[in-house]
Amino acid sequence: MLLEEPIKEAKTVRNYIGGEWVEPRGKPVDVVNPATGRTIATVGNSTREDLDDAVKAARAAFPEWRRTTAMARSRILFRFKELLEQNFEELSRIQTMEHGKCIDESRGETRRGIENVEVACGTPMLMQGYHSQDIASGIDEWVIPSPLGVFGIIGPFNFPFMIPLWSAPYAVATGNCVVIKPSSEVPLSQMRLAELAEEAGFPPGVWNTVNGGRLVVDGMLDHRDISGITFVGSTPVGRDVIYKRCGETGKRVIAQCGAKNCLVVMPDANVGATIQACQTSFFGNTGQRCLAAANLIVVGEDGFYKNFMATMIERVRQMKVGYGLDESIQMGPLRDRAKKERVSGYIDVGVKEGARLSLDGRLVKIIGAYPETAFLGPTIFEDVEPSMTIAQEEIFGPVMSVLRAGTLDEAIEICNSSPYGNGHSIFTSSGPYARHFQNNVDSGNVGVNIGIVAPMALFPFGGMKDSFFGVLHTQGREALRFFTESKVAIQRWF
Amino acid sequence: MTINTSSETLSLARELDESAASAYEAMVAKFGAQCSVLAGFAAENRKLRDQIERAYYGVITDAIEGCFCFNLEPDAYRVGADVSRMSTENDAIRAALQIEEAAAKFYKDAGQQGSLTMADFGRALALVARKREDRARKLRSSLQPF
Repeated sequence: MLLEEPIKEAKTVRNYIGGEWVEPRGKPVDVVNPATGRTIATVGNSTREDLDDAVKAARAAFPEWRRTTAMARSRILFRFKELLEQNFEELSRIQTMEHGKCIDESRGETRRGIENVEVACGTPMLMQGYHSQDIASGIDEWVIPSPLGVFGIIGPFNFPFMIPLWSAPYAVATGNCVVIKPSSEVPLSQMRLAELAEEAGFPPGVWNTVNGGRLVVDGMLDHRDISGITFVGSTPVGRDVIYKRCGETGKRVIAQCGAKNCLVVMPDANVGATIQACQTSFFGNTGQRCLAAANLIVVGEDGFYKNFMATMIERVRQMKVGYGLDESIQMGPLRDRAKKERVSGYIDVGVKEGARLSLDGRLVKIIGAYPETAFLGPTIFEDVEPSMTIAQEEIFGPVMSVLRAGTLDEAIEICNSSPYGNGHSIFTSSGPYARHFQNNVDSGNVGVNIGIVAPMALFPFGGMKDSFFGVLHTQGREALRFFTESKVAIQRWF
Repeated sequence: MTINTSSETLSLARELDESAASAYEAMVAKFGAQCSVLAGFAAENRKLRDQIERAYYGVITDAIEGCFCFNLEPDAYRVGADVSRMSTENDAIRAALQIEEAAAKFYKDAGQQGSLTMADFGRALALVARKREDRARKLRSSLQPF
């Protein structure tokens, strides 16, 4: 069944600054639905002045907002959560229209975003400080978690709704104000989110959205009135631009970056469940996830390998590719033509370097009469060596590179040879294998029989090596610490 | 066409339950008190559908294999019921029994397939399967012998 599109005519995406909807000063660009090729919105490229306006509004709102009681702030978040639930389906379909992911994935993204709002609703208790009486005679001491001011939140294109919610609810719940910069490729769900934030009753200036690109990011990094940045994007930008410049300007930073995740399959794995998990991990969200699997490392003898891969290839070959608002679709397009060309380029490189192309996504037949501009089917390479480009570099598309390992330790060595450490996982029915893997693999998120090792909102979103730059992480208690300063008060009364 | 995704499974559940509820309401309208049990089924179908929707929307996350865990052939569960051709309440009960048996099979299959990955959704489907099996037993026992 093809679900109804919530966006009927092209929208104009505006900035939300100081409680007002304003046109960005820069030149507008089109937002194109990658499946249908239709323009669904135009979004202005904000200038430094636009950003300054937003930071000024946030800065002006901060003194009053931080003095608003934590309970009162939390009540606004509860209203916000209720509005997100009421608009759940519309929010999900907008994500499919702007990004291309299929509807089950969009609904999953909406749910995960809302879960962060739910956790942030508990802030009045979670941000309580601690106290010691009589640290010296007649002297008491407290830790008072205090908000810092204004935070910049830079969102990526792959999870347009959810990822800003890894940060924003915690920031505002603890008394800070935020300026969110969505990816200009997918600004619509953040615009809807800002509308709902307004309806929930955040005072003007607490929640701001500024659309645009590099100018806005540069402005955020240089801005003296921004206390910290959260960023999700590529490693070169996260490491060499965001992390570095936040250091130079004394800002707090969380930079969640690229990945090359491995799924290790042991011969005692539950084959059916493992293949389902692999399908979602390699091809879900069309491979455009920082927790997507990229390398499949199969441990064991030829017999197991052949049967496992024969079943895998057959299942993957049958996957339905098309427009994500068609409920039967299992994989949507890549976000745009340039991303498709980039991933296709890696397929060429894989062939050139001698890997065996067992399933060629370039030959995919899509379901429905849609332009093929951004569609690429699931691709499987076998006989991949750890030294090959497709085994080492982040492809960010629906490509599975299959490697072999003689033992679990060999497999772990392959995982650990990657400069990234985001989300490796093992599939096994053996406790000792699982424990050995968990304790020895260098990965910020580790899975046992889990395809996508995405932590729930209650837990920090981990990351190691070139996958993460910073100290504290988004989500849960760590986010609360990131967005607060530990003020220590010592009192003596004469 | 084979159903693989959770959203399509949910839509099929809605379709089956809604068409069954409509058929039961038509049977009650035609045969009155003798088919009163079916009126209860129609109302309950809508409650069960809400329960399944809540389970789906409450548990679906981007980490779960929502697009890959099902392998269902929808036509195997679709049972037509032409009320205009039924002449006795026994005909209606027999048709209702067929609908309930098909629904029980659908929910059982979907519950088993969904349990591997979307556990709460799978559990909700399996719970409905048990309800529908109970209904089928009740209908079987109320059928008048020829």
